[in-house]
Amino acid sequence: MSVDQSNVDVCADVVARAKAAGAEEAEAYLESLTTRTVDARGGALESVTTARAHGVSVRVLIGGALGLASGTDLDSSGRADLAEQAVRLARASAPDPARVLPDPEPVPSDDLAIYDPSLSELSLDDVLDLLTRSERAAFATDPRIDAAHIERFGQAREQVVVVNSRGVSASTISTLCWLSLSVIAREGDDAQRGYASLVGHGPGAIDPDVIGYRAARRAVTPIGGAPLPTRRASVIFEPDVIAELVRGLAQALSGDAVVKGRSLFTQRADGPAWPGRTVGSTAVDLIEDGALPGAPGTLPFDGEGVPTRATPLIQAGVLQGFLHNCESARRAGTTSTGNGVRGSYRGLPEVGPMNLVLRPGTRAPAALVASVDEGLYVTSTRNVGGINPVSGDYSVGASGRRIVKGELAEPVSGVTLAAPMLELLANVREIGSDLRWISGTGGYVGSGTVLIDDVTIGGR
Amino acid sequence: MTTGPSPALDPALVERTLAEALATGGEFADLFAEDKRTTTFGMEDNRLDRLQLAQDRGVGVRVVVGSVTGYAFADGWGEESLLSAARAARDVARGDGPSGQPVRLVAVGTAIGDQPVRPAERATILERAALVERANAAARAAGPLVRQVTTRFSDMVQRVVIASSDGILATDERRVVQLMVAVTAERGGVRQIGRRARGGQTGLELYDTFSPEELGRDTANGAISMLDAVPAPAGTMPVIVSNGWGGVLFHEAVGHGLEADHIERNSSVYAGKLGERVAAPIVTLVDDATIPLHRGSFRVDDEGVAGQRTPLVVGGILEGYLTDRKHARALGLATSGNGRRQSFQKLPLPRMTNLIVEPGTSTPADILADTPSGLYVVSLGGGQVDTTSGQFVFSVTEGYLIEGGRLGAPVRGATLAGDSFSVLARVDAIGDDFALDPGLGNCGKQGQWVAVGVGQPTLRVAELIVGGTASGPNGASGGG
Repeated sequence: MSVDQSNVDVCADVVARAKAAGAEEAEAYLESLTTRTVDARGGALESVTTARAHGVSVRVLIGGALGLASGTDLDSSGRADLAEQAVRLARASAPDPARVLPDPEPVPSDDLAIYDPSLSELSLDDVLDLLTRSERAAFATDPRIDAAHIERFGQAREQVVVVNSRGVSASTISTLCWLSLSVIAREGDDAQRGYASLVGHGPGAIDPDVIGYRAARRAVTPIGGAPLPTRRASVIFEPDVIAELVRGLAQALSGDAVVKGRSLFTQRADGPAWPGRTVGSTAVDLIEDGALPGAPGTLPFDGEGVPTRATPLIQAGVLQGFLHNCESARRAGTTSTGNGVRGSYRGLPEVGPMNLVLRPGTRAPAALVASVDEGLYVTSTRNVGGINPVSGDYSVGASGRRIVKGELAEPVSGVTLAAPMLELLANVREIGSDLRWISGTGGYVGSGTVLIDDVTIGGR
Repeated sequence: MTTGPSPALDPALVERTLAEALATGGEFADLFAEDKRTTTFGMEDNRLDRLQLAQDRGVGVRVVVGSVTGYAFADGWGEESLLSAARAARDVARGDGPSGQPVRLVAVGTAIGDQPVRPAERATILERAALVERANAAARAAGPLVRQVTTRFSDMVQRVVIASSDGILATDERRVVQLMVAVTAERGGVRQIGRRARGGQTGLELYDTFSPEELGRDTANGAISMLDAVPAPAGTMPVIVSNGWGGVLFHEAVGHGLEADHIERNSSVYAGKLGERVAAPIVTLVDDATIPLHRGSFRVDDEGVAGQRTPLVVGGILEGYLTDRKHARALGLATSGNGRRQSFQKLPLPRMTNLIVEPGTSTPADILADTPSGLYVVSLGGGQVDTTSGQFVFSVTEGYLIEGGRLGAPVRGATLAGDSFSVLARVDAIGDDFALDPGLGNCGKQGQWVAVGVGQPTLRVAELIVGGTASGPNGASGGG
């Protein structure tokens, strides 16, 4: 792996230009990307998208007032324009003492296992082979699998650079690839789609057989399903399903949301402090760790150049703390946890997770099922903003299988699940040993299967 | 702030790029060049302190050979960007066709008609910042229960050049503004958030008619009223969806299933059903890109095809699908001008523009009075559908119980679930109060986000599954 020094120089130049244009503090953040996305079906290529792309944003502070400008034009006039635009915006902006840029901190030199050189050696034929194997694995799983819907393999090699006027100068290169498969199952008039994906830093993380099997299982499970009668019962959530809840929880654990009154964990005038309070059952351990070697969201530093680290959020059901970037940390009177995350080079570093891990338990998912007398095993949910980090409400559409006397019974579809998030956490009975990584908007989640008691199932 | 000089793209260079793209035997090639500037003004904690400018300029070139598409994109509009994208795209899609055919482009009229009166990007920073400050002040004036107010204004101007090897050369300018307000209200440990927005493909004149103060006040009052919300009922019941943004129910439940990629892949419940009854006879659905200045409208789509009004369901009968060029060709259908993309970094997909439910003859008051119990939905938080099974789900962001034909308490934590055929078959009353949404919609598909509009009158669905934590009007709870 080699870091392209010219991109570090570009950032240093942008910072210098911003200072010259009147900025008191300035920061340049750059992403430079080589990417390929391949779609196929039935063993044949459908489309291949390739690109080399880059972009830079400059964040400036003048008397605590912020301006940010981003663009893709990195020649000399483009850099000058960005610096000037950012300064101009800062001059129209309200001052805020919490706006700060970080001082340099040593970035640990541990091998984070985020760069796999073998990814760039993957030929188009290799990719087509992976996609085709995933499709075959789906067909082999169940005769009701009728067709592949979407097969997509993506790969990227990305350099990220952060340089600021306080001496931060950080650069890293990582690789990432993912394979996603969506298949259609049919029986009679009923048709259902199932989706699965895997993500990792290299091709070794992509097992097409696992993807095919999971996509097929999720497609066939609700076939012939009907709603259950409305009831309260134990519900088992597969990892992909619980990941959505964990992300919703992480939004509420954002120090920015907390301090600005946009979280269910915002301190009430008359209430006790949240950290130290019990918010879940003793089975619940939630950790954010942006420096976890080999995990998909891992990077040595965050979007403002602060080293990433492990931050316990909930331990044995007790709330430990919140996630912070430099700004939210300043407001809350603490230090950044290295969670200033940029959705792209265009945006500000917002508080967010990189790798959230719900600590797995010791028993396999089958043991969890066996321990439920009457309930629902959920293989997929549809979340449409029904996970609300402010009110704490959780409400989604769901499908899966009914559980009767410890065994999976008839298929269920068209039901809804609803409960306050904290009630769900308090009712977590057990977490399975089957930890896996789930990608999605709002950070990677590592979780096993989760059993929660007393959830309201809305049906007929 | 001034915008930079409008970038020019020499038609001769575009012709050369397309010829280069076809040099290894491609059958079809096109180019999408985009220059976009977005300025955002954000305010929170009473501080206007998030001012951001994003400038994106780039080009994507597509080459098609048989069923294989090669696509490549590059930053900038320079000769090197265009030609390197053309070469990268054709490397994937090599064909046996004649190579090196010259391409001759003819500019198609984009009839730049409805343009903003006061384009936002030409207004001063202070004038735009004032919109955010006015909305914030009005929301905070709604009372001490208001705990936090977040307001954001953004204006975007997108210049596109679209050309294809069959001779189309289209250029257009699209301008979008949006003012968004989010209010957190709190009382006794109960916290609720309300969000509203007002926007369109207009200039700042929009906010002369719909004032930022009104938006701020309404959002705050909505959040405050939700503090009295009771847990939503769970079970099957009649649902009335009020006019305007409520149309997003049909965008999700029906519209996505009519997009031609799902038809071609046989992954829609509507595949093979043209000419069949798919809805109650009172239902007519139309996709309309031609509504002046509305959020989902355009003069040409992202493949250079003119925006159109496309009847989808007429009197309950399925009459049409939404196509882009690729899927129109694959299915032997006409192009309906629905090829859209998030940016030059993406291939186009068939997408909705503004999805419209045509008005009926009932009055909204009669529809409510005629409903003994159920749920009255004012605002939906968006939804999701599996086009293959037709199953969809929505979160209700503002809803009320219906008790004896009148509005009761607001409800919290409700979702709506159902399937495409049932919801359309069970529409049993449609009002005469058609309204467009206030210009806030975004739709995501395969990771691509585009601006969309919806419109509908107040209507009733005789039966939908409502998910909540309280027992429903039919008394189903526990057991069984």
